[in-house]
Amino acid sequence: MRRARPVLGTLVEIEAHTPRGESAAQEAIDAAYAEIADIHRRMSVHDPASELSELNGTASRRPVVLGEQTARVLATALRFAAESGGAFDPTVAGHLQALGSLPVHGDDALDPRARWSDVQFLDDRRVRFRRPLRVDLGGIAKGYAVDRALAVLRCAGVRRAIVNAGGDLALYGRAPQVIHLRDPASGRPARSLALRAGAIASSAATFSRRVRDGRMVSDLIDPRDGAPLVSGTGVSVVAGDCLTADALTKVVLFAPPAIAARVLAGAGARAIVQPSGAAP
Amino acid sequence: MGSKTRWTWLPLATVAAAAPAHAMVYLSVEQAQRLMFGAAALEPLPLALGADDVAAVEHASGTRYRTGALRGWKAADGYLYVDQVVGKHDLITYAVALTAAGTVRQVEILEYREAYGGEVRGAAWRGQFVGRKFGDPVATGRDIQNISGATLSCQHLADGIRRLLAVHALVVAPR
Repeated sequence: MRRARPVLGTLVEIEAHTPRGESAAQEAIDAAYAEIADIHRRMSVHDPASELSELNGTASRRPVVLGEQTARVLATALRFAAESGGAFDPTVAGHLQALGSLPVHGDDALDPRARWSDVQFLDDRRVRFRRPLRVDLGGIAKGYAVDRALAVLRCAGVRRAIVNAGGDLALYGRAPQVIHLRDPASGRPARSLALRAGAIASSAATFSRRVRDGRMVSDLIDPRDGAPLVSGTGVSVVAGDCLTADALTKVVLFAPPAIAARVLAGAGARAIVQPSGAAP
Repeated sequence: MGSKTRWTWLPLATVAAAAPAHAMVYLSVEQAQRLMFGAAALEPLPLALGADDVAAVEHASGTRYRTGALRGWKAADGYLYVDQVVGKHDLITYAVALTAAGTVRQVEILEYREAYGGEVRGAAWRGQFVGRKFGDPVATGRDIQNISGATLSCQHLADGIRRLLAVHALVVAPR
């Protein structure tokens, strides 16, 4: 049983097989979609009512208490930011706003010097910002939603499952599944690999690349200078979970190779780099 | 973390053939009906829109209305619509369940077909779907199921749902 729904700004596909029959599989899939919708409600930067929007609107003035899941995803994002020397940074929202990729809620002026280390956990759940900034978990929350959906399927007794959120994909089962990777330049499936359990995520600027004010931009921002990535390089990361895979694609795209290799090794992950294709 | 993950490269020849298609049939119309409305009886809605209706729907939704794409049914506690949207690279058939009050309760993709290099808008490529029944197996050996690396934006799906809601609000609900 395989279904697809538009959520998280993309098509999210869920496949589940259980010996208990089709309606059991359908129920498990419904529960997995409900979990994804819940995570989206908490962590969406587009929804003014989300936990993340509350954090962004308030934490530079006073500490905000986050829900357990949002706190966990933010803490993981900050850990990868520290390990990668800022090559992955969940506080690039100011740059994305300037490029017109993210909505502006309220009228707070963001501090262009703000970075990940200005996000401070006072305890497990209480967070404040040392400078006015915006956190965007878009580079990582989708992977987390995929992981949680897969966990829901596992708890429901599903024997074999795949969750694919527009290319952020995680699965488990007895037999390996063939996963195709898109060529970043053409969008066509170009390479493939077999995966039995675990996760894969892919990033390439070409998936969001466009011309704005006569200049080529994309949604992938180098956190260190705010410049949008416009090269055609594509990166896929295979890891034990999709949250890790999702974050590490950005580390590999932006970190110096030695640092990227160290962060990958520390996470037990592997990267597949598809070099730049034809220039746009 | 996942250092136990085992993975291997596969030969690339299987996907190197010209114009591979990512195509999936998820649900038939009947399966979607069961999923969304259980065993409840559904009565087909006549959806032959007059020129005035089409103009009103296009104005309200900001999208073009394609005659014949939309089908609808009325249930005791809501409505089911099945529609098709054609994007630059893909064609999506989808079902929307509305409550009796006309708000979206559930969206399910019935069929997704992707092609590369603009084939979707070409008549020849689209011709593949003429006469297809929902639930027909996706036949070709070149169909690709799991892809990592997004190009999907779902924007045209959002446009389709907006148009469908305009049809419901302006044409069906006032009847």
